[in-house]
Amino acid sequence: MTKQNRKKTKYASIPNLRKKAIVNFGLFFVFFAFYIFSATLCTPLLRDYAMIPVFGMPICLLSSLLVFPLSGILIAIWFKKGG
Amino acid sequence: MEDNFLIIGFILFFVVASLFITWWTSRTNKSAADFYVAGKGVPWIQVGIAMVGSYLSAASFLGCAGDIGVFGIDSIWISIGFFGGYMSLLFLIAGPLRNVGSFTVAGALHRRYPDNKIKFAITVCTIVVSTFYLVPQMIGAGALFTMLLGWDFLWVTIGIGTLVSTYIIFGGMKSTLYNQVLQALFLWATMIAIIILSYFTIGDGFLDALNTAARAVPPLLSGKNPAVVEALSSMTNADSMQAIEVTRQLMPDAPSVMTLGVKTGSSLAMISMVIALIFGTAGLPHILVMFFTVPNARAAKKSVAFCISALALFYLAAIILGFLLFPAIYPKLVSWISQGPTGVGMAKNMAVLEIGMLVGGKWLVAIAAAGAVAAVLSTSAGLMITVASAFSNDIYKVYVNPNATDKQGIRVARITTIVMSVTAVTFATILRDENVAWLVTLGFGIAASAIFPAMLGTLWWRRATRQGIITSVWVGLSVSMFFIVLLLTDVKSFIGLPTGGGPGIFGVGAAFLTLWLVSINTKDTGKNADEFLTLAHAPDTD
Repeated sequence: MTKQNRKKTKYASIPNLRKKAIVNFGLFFVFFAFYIFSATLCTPLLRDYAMIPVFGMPICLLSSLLVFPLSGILIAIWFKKGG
Repeated sequence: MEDNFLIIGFILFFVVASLFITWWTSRTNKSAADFYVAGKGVPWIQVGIAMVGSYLSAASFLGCAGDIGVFGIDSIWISIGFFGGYMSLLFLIAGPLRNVGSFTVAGALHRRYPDNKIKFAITVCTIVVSTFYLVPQMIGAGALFTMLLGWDFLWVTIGIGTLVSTYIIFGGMKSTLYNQVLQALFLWATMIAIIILSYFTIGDGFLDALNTAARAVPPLLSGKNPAVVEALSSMTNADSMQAIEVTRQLMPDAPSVMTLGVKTGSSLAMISMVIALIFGTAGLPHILVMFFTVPNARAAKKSVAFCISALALFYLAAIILGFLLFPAIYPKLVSWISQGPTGVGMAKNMAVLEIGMLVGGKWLVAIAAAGAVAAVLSTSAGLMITVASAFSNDIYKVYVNPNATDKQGIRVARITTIVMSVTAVTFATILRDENVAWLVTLGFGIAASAIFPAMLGTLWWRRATRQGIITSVWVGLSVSMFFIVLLLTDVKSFIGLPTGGGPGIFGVGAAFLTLWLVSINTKDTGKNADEFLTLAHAPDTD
């Protein structure tokens, strides 16, 4: 790679890094927030709310199981955004 | 006896198939890259499947559902946590790590900060994390064979250690990958077969199982009640529903399987565990090195995405199976727990095999037992080759013999494999009564604290400095080891912080804080931070 090309690549990559960071960390934050929320809902701390029934099961269990489809949706978005 | 022959037959099939794969792949190993990273040209789908095999240990196959069968709803987050870790790996680590890595995790960090102290620190962490992960595999295998076939614990672990060492010594990473693919396919298919048969055989589906669970007293509690144990002593698995009702009548005020807090009363401890699991996966050296076996970053991401899909189905199946244990084998669970601490271990490890026997007969039990052995073999192989590679490339070639040839390096890697195998068997014998899943979780805690913050800082943060990275690795390792020592010596809390959930939240917090504080006060951001980040985040090519 010539010096000029290296310089071009370097500067071209900086906005790419910023964009990638926003997409990757943004999607990970959505997952992490839901993950921690669901995990916290399954602790003794929120026992009273956790047992509210939704679709025939306690909300804490439903919310925990939703981690699986949510991850699928986020991965699909991520690949669409160029991951 | 006939059942034993079936089990032994299936296990022998694996041993022979593994040795054949090792012989076959060893013929094509020509260079160091072939030995350490399978030539860097393995198709992404193959690596994705191998990653499933490397990750799904006996703790996942037997322990996730079994733990729900003992404690109830408190244990569902073991499965979800194991799964969730891959999301951080996919979004934050996989692609950039593939772009900058060569043979080892330490090598990737060293590329930005050419300081041997980084290699040393990460290699020490790699050895510690891998040992914490490897020893439970050996314990799991030993316990399984002891319970199932009555074989001697020590000889089983020696046998497993020898077999896995053989893969690596003769076939290197290529053999490890092919064996992991075979074992992953078998293990995954076995779990799916068990859940499908169980789902359509037991009760009226998942919601019905949850309703039953809401009446059931957790076996951990009912198994310690002499009146319940006596009342259920003559019942078989076919009487599970009746057993649940009898237990409820004898323990009317006891919590149910759906009650939160049976396993742990500390919410912070549980959050600490799930933090360790989500960040620990992205710091597990034996998973990270697999990215170096694919041709490019795009392939690395695809392999992780594939692995996530397979793991989602697997862990969802494990959770459903856990709740199906109550209407299926409740008297057996109570009977196991009544035998004391050893019985608790049996309930956790044998419940999946018991339900397999119920819905699929002795053939399914034999397949499931072989699946568990497959899990142990594939995970152990991944761990051992990671340590061997790290020691040879980052310790031997750096500190002992900087002019070593590839041949000498590979020889050291092979010797390291044998040493690691002997170490794992020794520790497994000493710690044979420890909880397998728990030891694995502690390994995640160390990886999350010592390796993940350093990886994230190196791959994404331009201001991360060499001093910040090195200090964060040592602080993360020290804090996590400190909490583990407290935990293993039965200290329940330290300055008000519960030790019960492992080091996760404390180690990760301390490491990130250190990374930030030291980095903003020092200046060495690496040899050429911009060039490194440009390479790490270069646009994908197929």
